[in-house]
Amino acid sequence: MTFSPPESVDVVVIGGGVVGCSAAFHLAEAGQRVLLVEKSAIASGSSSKAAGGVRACFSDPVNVAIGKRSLALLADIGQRPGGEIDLHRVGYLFLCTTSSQLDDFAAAVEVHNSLGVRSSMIDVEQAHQLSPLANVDDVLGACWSPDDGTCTPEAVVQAYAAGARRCGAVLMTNTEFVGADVRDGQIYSVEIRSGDESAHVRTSAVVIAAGAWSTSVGEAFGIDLPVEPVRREIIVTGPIPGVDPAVVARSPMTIDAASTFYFHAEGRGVLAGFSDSSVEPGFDLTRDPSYLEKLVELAAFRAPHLVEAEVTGGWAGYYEVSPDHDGIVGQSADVSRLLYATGFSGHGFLQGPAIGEILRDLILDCEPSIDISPLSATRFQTGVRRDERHLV
Amino acid sequence: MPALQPAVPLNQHLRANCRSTRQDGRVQIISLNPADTSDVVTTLDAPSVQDVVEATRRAHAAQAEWAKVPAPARGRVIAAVGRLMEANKESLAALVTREIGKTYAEALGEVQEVIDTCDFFLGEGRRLYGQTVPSEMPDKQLFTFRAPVGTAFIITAGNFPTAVPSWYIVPALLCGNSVVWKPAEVSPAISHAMTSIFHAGGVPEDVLVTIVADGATTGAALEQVLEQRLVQKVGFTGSTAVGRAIGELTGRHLQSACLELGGKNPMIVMPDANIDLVVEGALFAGFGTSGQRCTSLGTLWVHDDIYDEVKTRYVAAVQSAVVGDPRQDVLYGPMISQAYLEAHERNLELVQPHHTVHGSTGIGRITSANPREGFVGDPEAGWFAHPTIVEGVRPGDALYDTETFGPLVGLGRFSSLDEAIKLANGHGYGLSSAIYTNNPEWVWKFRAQVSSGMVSVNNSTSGAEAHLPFGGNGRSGNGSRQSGVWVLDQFTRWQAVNWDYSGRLQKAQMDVMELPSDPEFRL
Ligand SMILES: Cc1cc2nc3c(=O)[nH]c(=O)nc-3n(C[C@H](O)[C@H](O)[C@H](O)COP(=O)(O)OP(=O)(O)OC[C@H]3O[C@@H](n4cnc5c(N)ncnc54)[C@H](O)[C@@H]3O)c2cc1C
Repeated sequence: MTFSPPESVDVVVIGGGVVGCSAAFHLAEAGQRVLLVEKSAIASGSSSKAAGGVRACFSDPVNVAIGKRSLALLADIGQRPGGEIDLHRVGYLFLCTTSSQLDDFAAAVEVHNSLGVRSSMIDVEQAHQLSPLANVDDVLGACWSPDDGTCTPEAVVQAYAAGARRCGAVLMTNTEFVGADVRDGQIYSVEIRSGDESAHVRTSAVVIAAGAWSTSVGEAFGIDLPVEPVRREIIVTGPIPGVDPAVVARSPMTIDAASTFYFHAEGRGVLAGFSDSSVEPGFDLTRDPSYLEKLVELAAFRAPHLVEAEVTGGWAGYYEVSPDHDGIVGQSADVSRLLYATGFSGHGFLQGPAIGEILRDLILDCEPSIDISPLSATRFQTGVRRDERHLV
Repeated sequence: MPALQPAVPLNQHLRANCRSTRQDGRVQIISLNPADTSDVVTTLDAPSVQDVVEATRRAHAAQAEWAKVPAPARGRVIAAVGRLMEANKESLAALVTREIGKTYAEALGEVQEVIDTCDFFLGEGRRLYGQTVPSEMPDKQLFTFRAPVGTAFIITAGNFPTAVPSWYIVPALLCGNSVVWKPAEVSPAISHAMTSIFHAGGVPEDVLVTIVADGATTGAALEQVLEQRLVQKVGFTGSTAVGRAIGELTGRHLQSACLELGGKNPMIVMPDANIDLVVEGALFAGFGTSGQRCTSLGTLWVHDDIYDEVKTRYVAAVQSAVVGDPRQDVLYGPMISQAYLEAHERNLELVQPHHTVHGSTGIGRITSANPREGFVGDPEAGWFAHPTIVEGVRPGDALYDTETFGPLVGLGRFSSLDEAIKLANGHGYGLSSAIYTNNPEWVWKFRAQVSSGMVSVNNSTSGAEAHLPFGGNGRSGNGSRQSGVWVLDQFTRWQAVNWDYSGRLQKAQMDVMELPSDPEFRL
């Protein structure tokens, strides 16, 4: 492949994950000339490693609104940009085992409902009916969000990438962002490199969507994007012996609110995981041999049937974690038309579709339909921390 | 526990800005999906007056070469355009739905009308007849030719972003004119798609130049291009107020513009009417396209004898009509843009104490706080309005003679056909009208005395076919007609030619051969 980047574009997007590709699609569709650079392949970062959970049931209203909008966009993806993503709206079920969890989710349900997301608190019996694989012996109640679900992360990213190309965006893979010409708060160009070739592309606007690698990209512009890579693992199983496959297929995304242990149907078995709080940040995807052991221990109690199933696959990827475990989205106050969207800490896949749309609005200088100012990076200076309590 | 309620209501505020000024000073036109304002359909830089003048200059420069292409060959281009419109019908219709919120079924119909228009005019390329006319002199021949007028400047509205422009562009091109097309600011993506199809069909780039600009820029540019004689015909579909200004401006340059303006289209229901048909027709004419057609029903006038029954059934039909996502099976979707919604809300202020309002659970914008039963989709996402019937409209009310261009229909009564005809004509508009009856006497009397350019009998006021003359009188236009063979008179001028091959100067009227006659002869 020859290295022939455009000389000048309206916007350069750095990163070919769900966030970068969604931004590139929405910008190109709106008539902007877009160059997206991806240092490796499209969807090679965290996006293809996600569990595929998509939900609006967060505790924080901004996240609820973003989730709701993303779900609407994902449901419409066949039309815009086109593609099949296997969206299954099986619902999200958070199992609560303490009364403070119950209170907390009940308060969140009020937020959901006020924003048009129809969730509700349900009792143990209903929870068990919805998710028969779950052991609910110690469960006090659950938060049920029926319009949430799962879809295939890789397919979503590829759909946006293809859509962006169709709308005229240039997507360059194996091409890394290496530096920027920024003077007096204005962006003049970015430097990109592929192998031993490099080029300067003129632009006045940049979107940083480099996932777990965003901190170093931010440094090139002199802005602080505090994001750390934290390894997260997933296990996939074959069919579950003794359980009707239809029951497995219907299972909602079921999450133990206390341990973050979760599972949902995948292929003929399930996909399961949990967030191991003992993992230290760092760029290392070597899989932890004890992870499976810990997962089996959690599963043996919460979903005992799963333990019978054969492990057929699994992987590790990075959560791109911010200090308060919530996304960092906004535009720099010092560098004009420098936008960033990173640090999604485990919910970036589902936020990517809506975030791409919001990034487009910021570039167009058009008030976004969701006020994302609370997600600005300035919060780490002012000390106002985000308080999203329903993380996985 | 921290406050759970958002400081600003999320997702609930409407996006208003259709223009924004960028840091570098360029003004950007932003086109939003009216059913889902989070969806930006496209953006483009707003042109300056100079840009519009330059675009016109290009079209003007290209016209002479285009006129040299034989008309049948131009007809072949129109044939190719029509085939491409057909091949792209679904995607163009989907774009119409997305950018201006017309239901997909209606959008498909609208694109079909473009195809029909191409179908009609592709053959006109092989006719475009002139005449041979006998001369009063020997060895002399007379002819008439249809000559193109030159460059046409076409300004169209947002409610029919493909069909109405095609009524101008297709015949104008077929007749050998070049065209500058200034579509509505609310439909830039559709106009871009349309223009691309014309160019792909073989229309040279400069023979059809499309430029999206706002009203003020267009008006200023129009003055200049008329002054510089770059434009020989102006076509305008839109409001009566702007049409008046264009009529004045072109008049000063001794041109008559083709003006298709507003309407306050009456539907007269006589005592013998088929009420099922009336209700169906008035539902579609009043609320289809959210009432945003120039031929939409203005006031439903019902004879005293059947007033109560028609009213009850009409109100019930409107109450149960489905409003919402225009991609679904609904009667109507959103207003074309925020401005149309705001204009509708201002028109609701014209409702007076002697009126009664029916048709929905609320009036004005549909929201979760002001819901509409059976709404399909999320009303907060776009600019949706309740259907409103205003009962008790009578002459003297603002609603009697104000075109409302939204989901608002007046309802009034009459006791005789003479009275109904007065009501139908009294507001000075004269675009479309309808009468529901099976009595031929009433039909012919109404036809002869109603002042509208188009009359429907037992059919709604809207829904023109592509080959009948379309246009209005009075406040609805200056009498110009579009469509079919009638529009040829807008885009050609008759040129009279005489060719004397006698070798002498034969003076008309003076050197006429006279044969002897006997005026005294009687049987
Ligand atoms: C096991 C696991 C499960 C998860 N489950 C879910 C879930 O169920 N739901 C959910 O919403 N989220 C989930 N996530 C989180 C989600 O995957 C991420 O938040 C999301 O994918 C982030 O997307 P992104 O586009 O910001 O980053 P990425 O997908 O990582 O994309 C960033 C891209 O930038 C490129 N890049 C970096 N530096 C440069 C440079 N200098 N030049 C050019 N390119 C560069 C990288 O190569 C990478 O491809 C999960 C994550 C993991 C690991």
